[in-house]
Order: sequence, then C-alpha cells, then structure tokens
Amino acid sequence: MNKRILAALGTVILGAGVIAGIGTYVAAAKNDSGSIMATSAGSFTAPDGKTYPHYTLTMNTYPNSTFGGHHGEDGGAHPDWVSYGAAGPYGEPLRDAKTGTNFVVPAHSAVTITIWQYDSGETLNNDFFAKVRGTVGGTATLVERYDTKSHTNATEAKTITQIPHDAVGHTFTIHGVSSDQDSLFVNVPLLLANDDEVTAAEEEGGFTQFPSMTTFTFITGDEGEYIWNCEFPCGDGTVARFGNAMSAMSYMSGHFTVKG
Amino acid sequence: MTDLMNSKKPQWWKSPDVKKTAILWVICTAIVGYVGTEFHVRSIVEPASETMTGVIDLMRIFTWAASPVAGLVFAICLTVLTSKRHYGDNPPAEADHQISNSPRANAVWIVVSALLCLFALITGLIVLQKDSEAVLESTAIQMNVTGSQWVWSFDYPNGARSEDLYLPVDKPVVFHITSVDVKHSFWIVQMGIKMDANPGAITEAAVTPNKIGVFDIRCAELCGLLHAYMQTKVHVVSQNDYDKWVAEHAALEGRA
Amino acid sequence: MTTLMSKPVSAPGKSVIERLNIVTAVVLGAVSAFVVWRLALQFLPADTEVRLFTREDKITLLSMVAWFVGFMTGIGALVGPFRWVMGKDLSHDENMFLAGKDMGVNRYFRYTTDHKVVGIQYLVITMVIFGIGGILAMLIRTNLGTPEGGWIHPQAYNSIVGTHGIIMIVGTIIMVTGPFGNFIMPIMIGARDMAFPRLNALSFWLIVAAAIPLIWAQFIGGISTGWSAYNPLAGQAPLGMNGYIMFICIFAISTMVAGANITTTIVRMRANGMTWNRTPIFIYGTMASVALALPAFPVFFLSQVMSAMDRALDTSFYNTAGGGSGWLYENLFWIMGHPEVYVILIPAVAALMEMAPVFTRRPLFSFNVAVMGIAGISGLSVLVWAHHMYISGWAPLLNAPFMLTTELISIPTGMLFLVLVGTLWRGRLWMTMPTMSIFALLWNFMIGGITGIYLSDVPADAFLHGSMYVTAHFHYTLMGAGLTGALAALVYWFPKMTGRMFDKKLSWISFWLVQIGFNVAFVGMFTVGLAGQPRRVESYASTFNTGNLITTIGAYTIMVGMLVLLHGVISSWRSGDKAPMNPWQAKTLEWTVPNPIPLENFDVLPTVTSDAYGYGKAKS
Repeated sequence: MNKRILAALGTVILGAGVIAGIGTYVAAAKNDSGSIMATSAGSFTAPDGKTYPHYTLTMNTYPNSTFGGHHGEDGGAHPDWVSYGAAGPYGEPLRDAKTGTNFVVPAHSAVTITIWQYDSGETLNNDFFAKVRGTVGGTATLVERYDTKSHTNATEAKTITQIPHDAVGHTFTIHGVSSDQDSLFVNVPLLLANDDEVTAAEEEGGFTQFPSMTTFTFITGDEGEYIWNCEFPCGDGTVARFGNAMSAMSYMSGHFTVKG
Repeated sequence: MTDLMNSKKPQWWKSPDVKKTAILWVICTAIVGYVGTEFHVRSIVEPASETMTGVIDLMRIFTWAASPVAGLVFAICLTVLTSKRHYGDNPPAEADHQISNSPRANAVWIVVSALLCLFALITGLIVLQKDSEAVLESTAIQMNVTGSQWVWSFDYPNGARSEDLYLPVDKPVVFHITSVDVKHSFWIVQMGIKMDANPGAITEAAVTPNKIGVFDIRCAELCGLLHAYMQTKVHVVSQNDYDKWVAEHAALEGRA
Repeated sequence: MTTLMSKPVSAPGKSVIERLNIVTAVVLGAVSAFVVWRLALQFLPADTEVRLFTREDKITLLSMVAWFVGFMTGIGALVGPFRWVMGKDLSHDENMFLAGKDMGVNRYFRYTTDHKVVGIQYLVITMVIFGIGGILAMLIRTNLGTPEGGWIHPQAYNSIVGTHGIIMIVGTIIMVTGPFGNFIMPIMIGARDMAFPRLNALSFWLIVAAAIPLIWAQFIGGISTGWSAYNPLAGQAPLGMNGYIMFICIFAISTMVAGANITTTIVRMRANGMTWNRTPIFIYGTMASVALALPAFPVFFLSQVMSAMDRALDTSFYNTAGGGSGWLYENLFWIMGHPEVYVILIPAVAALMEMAPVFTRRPLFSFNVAVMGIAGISGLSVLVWAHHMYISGWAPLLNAPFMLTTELISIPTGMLFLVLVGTLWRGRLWMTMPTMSIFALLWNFMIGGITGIYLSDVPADAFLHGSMYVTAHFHYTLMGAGLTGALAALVYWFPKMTGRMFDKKLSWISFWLVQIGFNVAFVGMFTVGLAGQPRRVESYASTFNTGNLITTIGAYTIMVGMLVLLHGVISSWRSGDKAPMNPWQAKTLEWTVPNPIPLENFDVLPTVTSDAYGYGKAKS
C-alpha cells in the first residue's frame, strides 16, 4: 500500500514537472521580453507652472519588419508585417536592438516621446483617434517631412491638435486596466508618409527618406501597468483590418510601465 | 400498487430518521440561505444605481427561495451519511426498504419546483419590464458609445468626445452602443448594466446613476489581443460639474 | 485466420487490411498534407488587394483536409465501403480479424470494430484529452495566480484559454458515452456488439484525426477567440483558427456517427424481455445524450463551415460589412452550445443513478420520474439557447420567452435530484468512491444549478454575463457534476473493463483532493466574478488578487488529485487486484459476463425478466 502511494507521489511530481516545463517555455516565448527605459533629460515646466523631471523616448513605425531589431535579423516570422521599433536620436533604425515595443517611464514625470513614421496610411476605423488626447496642452508637434539624411526638418514644425482622419499612418495610444491605479490615456495620431516614396523605398529594401515626425509630452501619475497599441487598422486582409500585426504583441502594441 | 413514501403506518412523520431530516432541513435551509446570501452580498461590488441594487436584492431573494430545496437535499444527505455506513469489499445486506416509487412525493416535489420556477420567472419579468421601459425614457441623456479594439470612446450629446465617461448623478442616461470592428461588451460594473457592442448595429442600455464617485467600465466580451485592457472609468458628478466638464470638452473637441 | 494468411487468387486488398494501423494512418495523413500543401502553394492564385489573407487560409484548410483524408484512408476507414463497391464484401474471417480476434495488444492500434476495444480506446483518448486540457488549465491558473496576472503574454494566453475550453468540452462530451457507452452499454442491454461496428471504429478514429489540426493550430498563430469562436473575431484571427474549424468539423462527424450507432443499438438490440420499463437508467441517459447531439452537431458543423468560408472565400455570412451578421453565428453556435451541455451532463448523472441502487442496496427511486427528467431536460434544452445571448442586443423582445424556457428546465433537473435523494433514503450505504461521488454530485450540482438560476434571470445576467461568475457556474455543472459522475463511472466499471479493481486508497485520496480543490478553486472564482472581473483576461486589477490566488491554490490541489488518479489508473490496470465477475454484486447484465470478456460477450444471449433494481424485496 505504502509503495503505491509513494509511486503516486512520484507521478504527481513528474506531472508537476512537465507542467512547469511547459509553462516556462510558454511564458518565455514572449515576442519581445525586454523594455526600453526612458532617458533622463533635465526638467520640464508645464503650462500650469508645475515642474516635473523630464524623460524622453524615441521610436519608429515601419511599413514592414525588415529593419530587424527585436524581431531578429530578417524580420522574424513575419517580415511583411508593419511594426514599431526602437529608434536612434534622429529616427534611424536600430537594427540590432533587442527590445522594441515595451517602455518604462518613471512616475510623476513629464515624458516626451518622438516618433518617426515611415509608413503610408489611410482612414481610421474610428475617427476618435484622429485627435491628440491626453498630452500637455492637448497638442503635439508635427513635422510632415523630416529629412533623415540631413537630420533636419524638410517642412516646418507645426503644433497640431488633430490630423485628417484619412491621412493617418499609425497612432500611439496608451490606455489600461480600470483599477486602483491612476488612469493614463494618451492618444497621438501619426501622419502618413508619402505613399509613392514609401513604396519606392520598400522595393529597394529600405525606408523612405522623409518620414513624418511627431513629438508630444504627457505627465505620468502614480506607478502602474498600462498597455499601448496603435489604433490605425493596418492588419490588411483581416476583419476590420485589425488582425495580423495588430493582434500580435511587439508589432503594433506593447507594455507601458510607469515605475520608479 | 405503490406505497407511500415511508411505510403504511399512518404516522410516518414520527419515525426517527424523518424527524432528524426535518430538523436538519431547517438548519441547512438557514445556513444555505444565510451563507449563500452573505457570500454574494459581500463579494459583489458596491452598487451605484437602482438597477444594481435590484440585482443584489434579486440574488438575495433567489437564494432564500432556493434554500429550502438545497436544505432538503443536504439534510437528506446528512441523514444518510450519519446512519450506519458499511465499509469493506463486500456489499452489506440488501436494504429492508423496498419502496421504489411514491406518487405523492413526486407530485409534491414537481409542484413545488414548478411554483419556485414561476416565482423566479415573475420576479425576473417585473424587473425586465422596468429595464425595457428605461431604454425609452425621453428625458434621458443620449450617450453614444463606441467600442474599438481596444478602447471605449464616448460621444456626448453636445459634441464632446472622450475616453472617460462623465455622468450627472440621478439623471437617466440611455447608451447607444456600437463597435467599429468586432464584438465587445459595454459593462458599467457598479451600475449593473451591460450590453454588447456589435459591428454594424446599435444596441441600447439605460441606467440612472445614484451615487457620486468613480466606477469601472470593462469590456466583457473577448475582443482580441488586448481585451483585458479595454477598460476605462465612469465619473459620476453633480449636475453642475457635469455641465462644466461637458462644455469644456465640447470646446476642446471643436478646436481645429 | 487461414483465409488471411494464404494468398488466394481473389482481391489483393486482403493483406492490405492486415497492414493498416495507426502508423500507416499518420504517415499517409502527413504525406497527403505535405503534398497538398506544396501543390496549393504552387497553384493557388494570388490574393487580390482587397482580401490579402485568404490564400493562406485556403492553403491551410486544404492541407488539413488532405491530412484528414490521408489519415482516414491509412487507418482503414475506407476498407469496408471500398470492398462493398467492388462487390466483394468482407468475409466472416475478415470481419473477425477486424474485430480484433486473437490480435492481442495490436488491436488497440488498428481500425478494430469490437465495441470493447473501441471503449478502451475512448478511455485512453479521454485521459489524454483531459491531460492536455489540464496542463493548459494549470498554465491559465499559474498566470492568474500571479498578482495582476500577466506572466503569460496575451496572445499565448488567449490561445491557451480557447484551446483549454474546446479540448475540455470535447473531453467532457465523450467522457461517459465514449468509454462506457461503447464498452459497457452493449453488454448492459444483452447484445453482442453495436449495431454498426465499423461506424464505431470510425467514430473513435475521427477523434484522433481531428486532434492533429488542433495541435497544428498552436504553431500557426493559435486560437484567439475562446472556445466559442465568435465571429467576427474568428474572421480576424490568425491561421490557427482553421485548425479549430477542422477539429470541430471532424469531431462533429464523429459525434453524429456515434449518435446514430448508439441510438440504433439501444432501440433495436436490447435483449429479449428488456422492455423499455426494464431498461437500465444509464441506457436512457446515454441514448438521450447522443440523441440530443444528433440535431445539435450538424448546426455546429455548418457554423464552422461558414466561418471557414468567410475567411477563405470572402463570403459575408458573419461580416456586417458585406451584409452578414455576427448574431447569425451566435445563434447557430448556441443552438448547438446549449443542448451540448446536457449532452455532457446527462450521461454522468445517469451513470450515478445507475450506481446509486448498487451502493445503497435498494431500488432506484421512481424510475419513471428519472426517465421523465431525462426526457424533459433533453426536450427543453433545444429551446433555451438564446439565454447565452440575453446581452447580445440581438432581440430584446425574445429575452422574456427564453427566460421562461430556461427557468422551466429547473423542473426536470429537479426530478433527477429527487431520484438520487430518493434512492439514498433508507438505503444501506456501502462506502466506496462512487458512493461518495453521488454526494459530491448533489453538492456541486446544487451550487451549479442555483447559480444558473441567477444567470437565467435577465437583469441579473446584465451584471453577471461575461464575468468569471459564469466560468465558475459552468465549471460547477460540467466539472463538479459531470466529471464527478465520469470519475465514479471509471472506478465502478474499471473491474469489468480491465479485469482489475481500482486501487481503493488511491481512488479515495484522489476523490477528496479533486473535490476539495475544486470547491476551493471555483468558490474563489465566484467572488472575483461578483467583484467585477471579466472572463478571458490574462491580466486584471489588483483588487482581484486574493480571489485569483485562492482559485489557483484550489487548481493546484485538483492537479495533484488528478495525477494521483492517473497513477491509480495505470498501476491498477497493470497490477491491481484481480476482479471477480461481479465485485459490486450489481444486477445489470454487464456483471454477468466473465473477465476477460469473450469476443462476442455472451455465449447465449440472455433473456430479461425484470428490471435491474430488485434490491431488497422490491417488485419491479
């Protein structure tokens, strides 16, 4: 009798081990497990006079995943999927970056994000997202054409509160779970880049020289876990064009953590 | 020829196991009713509308209505479990009790369960009727709700738009809900209302918030990758604060 | 035997029959899938701009269909029909070969028609299914047990949840009618085999064939929709959705085939003297369950075919943009989905009703009410489906009628409770794990039933729908009631199916671990549902931390209990005490055949003169 119970215990341990193994494998198979920390940049004074420590983040949106980055050298399993990715200080692709769509910013700070948008665009499913929301002053700064060769603005920088809802390339929309943590909602639409230039560059295996560049700042509250995703439907060929890249983490969505 | 449930002796209620079951019945009914009700009432969210209070009351009523049935079943189980139990590899001798049917017991059981069923139905229909009328309330605030993967957005009657829902306390509101992509479900948790957001259709739900505070809105229908994060808050404020907020946001929305 | 060994001038197919088994099936299936995949990749036209996705869907579906055809050919499903078409029907010896005569263990890996072999095959595959479903459940609970969740990322989590759901649904559908409906039922009615032995083998091997597309799906994006696969979300889902669709289509065929077989067997092949009044209640339960499945599963099948067409052929059954409606899908799905839960529940409860007289040594209380209850549930269950759609906005005016029919189902359900407690009353309680399972069922099903009453009320459902409360409710009914009955049936009929007794200590230990773990787990789940946690979320607000932790602890306890049970099955099967012919001194016909059971069950078909509940001095 005792032997049988001991043997049963053995089955339990073995079974638990199998589950633990599978679990570890599944949990580790995150598309993009690392995070990009925001960089410190002095201090920021809001229009209402309050000052906050200032942090910055840069990122790019691409018409495909061939930039590599956190997807791996050849763009990973879906090189044709649109994707966000880590960016250098002038919007240059960081092809060796290990992380790309998870961000960590400190609490009670002003965070300025600059996004270079290399993709063409079309019409939003919901034009609610064509307007800038949740940023300081409800505005963002848009450079319609940024010259990535000379690192200068090819067109003038403009202060915008919205863009035409049929000229949207992507959006950066932060939102999260309703719970005890502070609400954080930021939505910034990103203007499309010129369609012909984008296609021409893609055929050469590269990206357009003139992405749009959008800069915006928002204030974080207490620590909390949020999510961000693009609200422009760029999952072509799927229902509401929200499948494919839109429905896979680390392409058009990621974690946004307010911490420290 | 079928016998009565217990024996031909007219005083079946005097036999010890029947008495034991009767006592246990009372005790189990009380426990099931009390524990069942307390469990629900303590775990459930604090209500922020009459509708939600109605839901909580309904759970109370149904629990107490069902408790005699549950109590009887558990009482019989306890009586059986506390009578002589036989262990071992061989069966005990066959039972003396040979009754294989009791039309009276069957009839009582079926009639009582039918009555309980009717009770539940009528209680439910009364509230359902009220809810159906609430959607037609002409003085209500007409609020448009749009679900997109994975954000809720609200269109206020005066043109304001926001990801936050602001409502004045004690004023009825009718939601017109739709989706721009897949199916979502609009759930104002503490107010006890929920309605699916369907692409290509507009559905309605109505409620009157009766408490000032901040409450949760969560999506209740799996809608893809970030369903778990499709949540926002509803702020119930005084009429004045509501008017101010809505005017501010209409202006913000209007600006180019 | 000699007919097969020699090589006469007639059809060369004879030696083919001998060679076909699971290996040839898998090989032929894999080769077919690969070939069709390459061909489709080569020759299917490119997508148009508008719907870029459908070509990949077509390729995936075609490959999966090719797998299916290859597998079924390779296992020998076509042998019978092919020989009949050729005008050279199978000979008696070949039929005996197919029935597994003198083949030893190999007969379990072939297209064997003996119902006893099929029953064991079903038992094993049910255990495999529960094993996989259980592993997925542990992944879910480990994720949700970490504060605020989020250990597994959303894509993988959604797919795990959906796969867990559909696997468990299939597992619970087959868990009683599969092993026991096939192995025990024909003997219990005094027959030599089932009405259609080859269909019997077919229904089993279809499930094996179906499993591969589901596993395949995990590697091509997974199932992102939950087990209910709602459109339009399913239209948006990755390629893995095709695996779900194929799985369901093949499984639906298996269920329909089994339904036809079991129903015909019960109606036409009961022994002499076994009138309907003398037919054991388990037979009624089995028949009702498959009879319910017969109309329900074709609807499920069609709903998935339409889903596949929307994805691969750009139709718009469910896409509003093209004039369709997601509500159509919901209706079709739940027209299957509600009867299906009774397909799961009825056999489990009927099995316990069959065991109750044996373990109380007294007659079943009110056989007629038991039959009425089963019939009432079956009949009403096809009229309640839209209670799953109260909150869909589909047809607000219909909420009241569906509330009526749903509340009405509590009446026949209550009849089953009456029969069980009536049978317990004044019985001589023989304490075994099946006996305790009756009490566990009464407890769990009472909770499941009452929480179902809250859900059936439209205004309450407006709060509860889509929350974890619903998940807890259906686990109480399908697992707390259904699985409890199935596990009891396993221990009860184990001696007849394997010739050995199930280790008593292990059966008790696993029973208590599973039952206590289960109640802890799902009570915790009720609390988080009432506190506002939605279903199918991998991450949640911190207020739900405690409830989720409790549920996870309960789940781990269930895991230990189920692993102990698994060990019990394996070790008892290999080296358990040899079982006497009728260890429970029960009165149904399966206990009158010796172990090992002869190939054709009875030397002389029995004649029945009374029902099986003649304990004490009761008259039938």
